[in-house]
Amino acid sequence: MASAGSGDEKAAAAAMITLISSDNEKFEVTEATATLSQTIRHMIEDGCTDGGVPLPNVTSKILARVIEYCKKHATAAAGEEGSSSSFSDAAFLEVDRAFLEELEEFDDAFLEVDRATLFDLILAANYLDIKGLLNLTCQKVADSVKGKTPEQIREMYNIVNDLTPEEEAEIRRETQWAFE
Amino acid sequence: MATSSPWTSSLPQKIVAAVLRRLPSHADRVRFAAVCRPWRAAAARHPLPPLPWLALPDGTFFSFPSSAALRFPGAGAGGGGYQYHGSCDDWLLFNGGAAGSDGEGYLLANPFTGATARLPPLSRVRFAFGDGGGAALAWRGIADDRRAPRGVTVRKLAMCSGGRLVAALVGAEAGHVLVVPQRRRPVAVVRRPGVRRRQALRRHVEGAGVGRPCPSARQVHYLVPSGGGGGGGGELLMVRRRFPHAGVGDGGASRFEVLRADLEEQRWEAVRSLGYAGEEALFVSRLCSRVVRGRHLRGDEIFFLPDDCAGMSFWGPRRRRGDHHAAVYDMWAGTVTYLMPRQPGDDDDDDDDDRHTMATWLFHTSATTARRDALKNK
Repeated sequence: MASAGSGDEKAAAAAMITLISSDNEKFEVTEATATLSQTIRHMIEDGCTDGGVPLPNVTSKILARVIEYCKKHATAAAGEEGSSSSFSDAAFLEVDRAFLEELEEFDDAFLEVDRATLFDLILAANYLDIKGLLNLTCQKVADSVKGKTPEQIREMYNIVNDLTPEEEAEIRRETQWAFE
Repeated sequence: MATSSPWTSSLPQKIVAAVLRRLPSHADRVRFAAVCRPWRAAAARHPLPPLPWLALPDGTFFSFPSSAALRFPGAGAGGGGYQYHGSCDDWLLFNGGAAGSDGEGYLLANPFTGATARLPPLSRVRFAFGDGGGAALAWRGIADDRRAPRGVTVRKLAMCSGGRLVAALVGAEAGHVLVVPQRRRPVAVVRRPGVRRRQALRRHVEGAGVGRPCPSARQVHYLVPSGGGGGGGGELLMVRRRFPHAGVGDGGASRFEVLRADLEEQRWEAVRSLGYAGEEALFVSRLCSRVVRGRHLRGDEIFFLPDDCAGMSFWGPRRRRGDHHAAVYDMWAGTVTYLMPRQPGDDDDDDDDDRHTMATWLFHTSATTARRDALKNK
């Protein structure tokens, strides 16, 4: 592994990718960071990243956040690979745990965003096919609706109730217990 | 109509389904699917495996792991609690002595839908089972009852008088398995489709190694049908729970082992991991046990009801009941974590020995109308 061990920064710096947001802002990222996105990974494999990768569905504001996430998690992935030689080392496991905790804290802080941003992050994660980020953001939505009634959820996400009275009556008839 | 939120108008259905999958409690999923039409449609198009409920004999239901008590219309309204003595999936079995049936009929009720089905008196379906120590089995699968709702697949409904379980019918369609827990040596019999019942009772798995003679056995076995999604062809698991010695109180935690029926070799083999990418857990209770799958599960865990063996010979009359309704056993660490603390008003235990009702898991399986519509429109 070229990226393993001490020279990981230098080795990774060899391959830089330019991402271009919908508002034409350019972001230079390492290949390791960019390939957390399956969409971009496929583009790199197909050799169509020269001159930058246009991402017409992602604004610069959201792309900056997505890159922040990918950078952090790409470092995590590199760290795991690099230290595989000392896998059985108890000290390493200790370090590993500390690192995972740090990553979790990062994720928690990363999700401290308003609902509009959360929505854009979900769409970006979906479009770019970044599994970890999609899991994280969907979990955030799931956690926010736990124990809430449909009305509370609508309020929270500014959703208009578009169910017909017949549909509502039907839902209530079948699952009345869920609404008391 | 007001401008619609992007959360309903432009969220891909796949994402809505992904959020839905991450909700661990069935009640939360139902509420989520009732928010708006696009979400309802997404829920209908991405049906999820059943999730567990916890039923208490006082008529309270919990959409596990939520600790918000829910009540169903009619449940527990009769005063003195809700005295079911069997359960299977989302059905509860009551001793519903109907008029004209000599008072020995059984009534099945589905607390979620309010549906009921009456079973014929057990005395009419009694038949003897081979060399099982002269054990006369009275059993009935609802799948065999024409009056039962269509599509119901009760896989564990075999009682002798007194409501005690003597046998279980596992699997709905192909490859029925009849399991006969005979004291400490459970026997499983494969029932092949198209083979007549008596002839099929040939191939069986002896509980070798399961019931090594142990005069003071403080253990109980839970049988868990696995896989096949209700279509049969799954495996049969057995969870063995060992209790700490009496006097330890609720400070001593149970230990668990999981065994799989090897029908070729006719034996039970130990299982260390449930597999399935770590998203599978066993939910065991004396009345009904199932495998549950979901993104919210860590895998290799056994959810159980700490006090569901109260009243068994080894339990001891003085043994104090625990402070929690449920608990989870970690198959890797061998540790028990208690869940769902009892509230002062909760009553899922009773000193009255005549009362057999015990807390149980239920597994909600009914399709919603939205889902049926989605299927119809295919």
